[in-house]
Amino acid sequence: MELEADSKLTSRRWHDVDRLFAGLPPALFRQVKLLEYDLALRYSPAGQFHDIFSSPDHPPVLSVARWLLRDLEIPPGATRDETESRLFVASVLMAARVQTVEGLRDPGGFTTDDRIALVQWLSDRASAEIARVVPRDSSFWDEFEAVAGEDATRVAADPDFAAATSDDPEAHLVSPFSAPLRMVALAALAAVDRLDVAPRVADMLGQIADAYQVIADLAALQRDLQRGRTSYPIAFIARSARVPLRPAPRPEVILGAMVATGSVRPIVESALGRLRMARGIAIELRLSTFAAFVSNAEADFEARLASWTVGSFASGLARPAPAVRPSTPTLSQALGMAEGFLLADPTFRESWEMHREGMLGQPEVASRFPAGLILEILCRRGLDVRRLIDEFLNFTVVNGFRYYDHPRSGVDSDTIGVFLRLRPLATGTREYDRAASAVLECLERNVHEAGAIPVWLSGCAGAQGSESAVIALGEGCGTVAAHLLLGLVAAPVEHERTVALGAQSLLDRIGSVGVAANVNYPPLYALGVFFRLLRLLDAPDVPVALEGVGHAREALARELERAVSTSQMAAQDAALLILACHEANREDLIDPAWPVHVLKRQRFDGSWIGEPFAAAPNRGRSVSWYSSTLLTTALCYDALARGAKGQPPATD
Amino acid sequence: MDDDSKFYALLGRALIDPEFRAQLLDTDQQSEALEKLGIVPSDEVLEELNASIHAINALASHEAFAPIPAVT
Repeated sequence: MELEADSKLTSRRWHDVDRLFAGLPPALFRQVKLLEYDLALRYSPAGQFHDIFSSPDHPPVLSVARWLLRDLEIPPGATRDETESRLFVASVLMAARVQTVEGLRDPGGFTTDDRIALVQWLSDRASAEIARVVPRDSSFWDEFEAVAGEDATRVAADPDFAAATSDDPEAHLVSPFSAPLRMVALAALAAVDRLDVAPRVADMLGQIADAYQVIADLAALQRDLQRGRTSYPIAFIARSARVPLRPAPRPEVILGAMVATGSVRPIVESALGRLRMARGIAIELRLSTFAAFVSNAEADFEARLASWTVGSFASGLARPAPAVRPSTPTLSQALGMAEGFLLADPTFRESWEMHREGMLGQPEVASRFPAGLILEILCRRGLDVRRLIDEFLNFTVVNGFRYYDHPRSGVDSDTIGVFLRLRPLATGTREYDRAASAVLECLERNVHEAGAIPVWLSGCAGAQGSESAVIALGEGCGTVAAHLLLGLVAAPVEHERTVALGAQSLLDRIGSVGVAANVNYPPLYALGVFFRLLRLLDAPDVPVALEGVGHAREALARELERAVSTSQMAAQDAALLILACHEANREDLIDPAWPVHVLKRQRFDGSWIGEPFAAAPNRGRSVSWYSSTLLTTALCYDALARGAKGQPPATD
Repeated sequence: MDDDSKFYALLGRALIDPEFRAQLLDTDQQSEALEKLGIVPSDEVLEELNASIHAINALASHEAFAPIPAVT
């Protein structure tokens, strides 16, 4: 009967939590919903939020107040019920806060900076719950501040500094649950005027939290090694095997050293020692529920130790969790997921600039140009997409090098440029050279007439000319010119005069206005394209003499340095900035936080949500942003892949 | 062994890579597996390796390096 009553009480307290979360504004509610699942995945045996911290696999984060009040024989009644209820909610909020803060610190996870408001809310609300049961003038609040300050110091500590200054394993053992456990316990004791036992209770809970942290750190050993983070077991193994902690050892070395030195046993025994100390305090204070819990935990840890070292476990018991959880390096996994997404549809149809607002009097008109950019990226990363390139080039030829798939669409430099850049990557190139000869002659005429590379070409054979003012948007875009030149400079048939005229005009413009020479693309994307072109034009085998390459590079370098000093909030912006730094040979400017920023925004299907990339005509003679999940994914993939040589963060 | 870190890396790889572990346990493939990591399969090395095999098996047999089950 007592168990049934306990269960009803717990259920009622969870309803309090649910009601609190349900009342949150939508943005915070969405974050809390993910947080519930994150907590359930990590701390619930059944994967249910209401079961978190209910098994002996984790410290009793949500049970402290109830157990203390019961063990101290506080008489049941409204006051005790109110104290238990408020402190249960505070415990859940603090556990949620721990999970969020740890998520923010995890470069391989998905907790993004916008959760700061949630951390603030969780902290404030937990304090408010405690304030409902602890008198304002209680000395508890001084202790509360001290523990909160200690926890803040833990979070703010620079792990590199700690690793560099201490090889003592104890210096690396800090449980994120130690502070919440102690805060709630102290609040419960203050509420019933039993602060006399507070120091011993805090000591007991600190020992319990640390014991569980040792096992948690052992389980996270491979992941921590991949992240370059030093934990208690890593420092322990390194000291036993005399392996230096800096520079960070390779994961396999520490894992192997763990085996060779037999470190699993002393590491787990150190956790058992902490549990024994905690049990001693529980017995001393006559906290029978805590003593029983710790006693069970000791038996559980001993069973795990036997299974991990001897290789057997007692029959009838559940198979023990692994000592060290497997961990896949985040970056290689993220790249694999992105490739899977990018190659799922060989037509890349989602990336097509598809118009249904009545362009050219048609219900549907499309440009496949963005698919060409995606193919180019996939090729750069060494994927064999020759067959897909053949199909793209065949369509471009059949469509007469028009931007849209309609006879009245204009022929444009972007389409010719991507055709020329992809042509060497196709299975056969001669037929494409023949197919492009007429449009290249037309291009030459246009460039010579205008003295620069136009976005839209006029007078090409077979083209009916653009009759829509909407289609002719974006004239004078330097990025389109650069796109074309990147293909034209490398083309086998000589186009020296066209290159000379077009490139010189573009260089003059960049030298004069910098990245403002771009019209149609995100400026950060344009920076990358311009730097790529400058590198090509600066090569010794370029057959044309150009002036102002250095001047243009200086102008763009100033823009790049300005751009890196501003915070990049969207994944695509961060990716474009990484790409621009690579194209400028300024990898030194890349902030290690940018790839993390990109990684945290990858979706479960391997994609990144499409972000604005170019302006596109829309209904009502208006313009809105073109965005594509495939194109944004390709850009993020490209940016991450270029940094793949560095040390990848990890995920579990 | 002159270079402990090479030997540690060998054991670490055996722990996290089931295929490599199987190669190490197969006497026909053992030398090849060791040479893959630049380790000469001397008697001393083989002795040290054998002394660690039980510990590796004990750790690896507990689903330690199996895929994490999907959660729905």
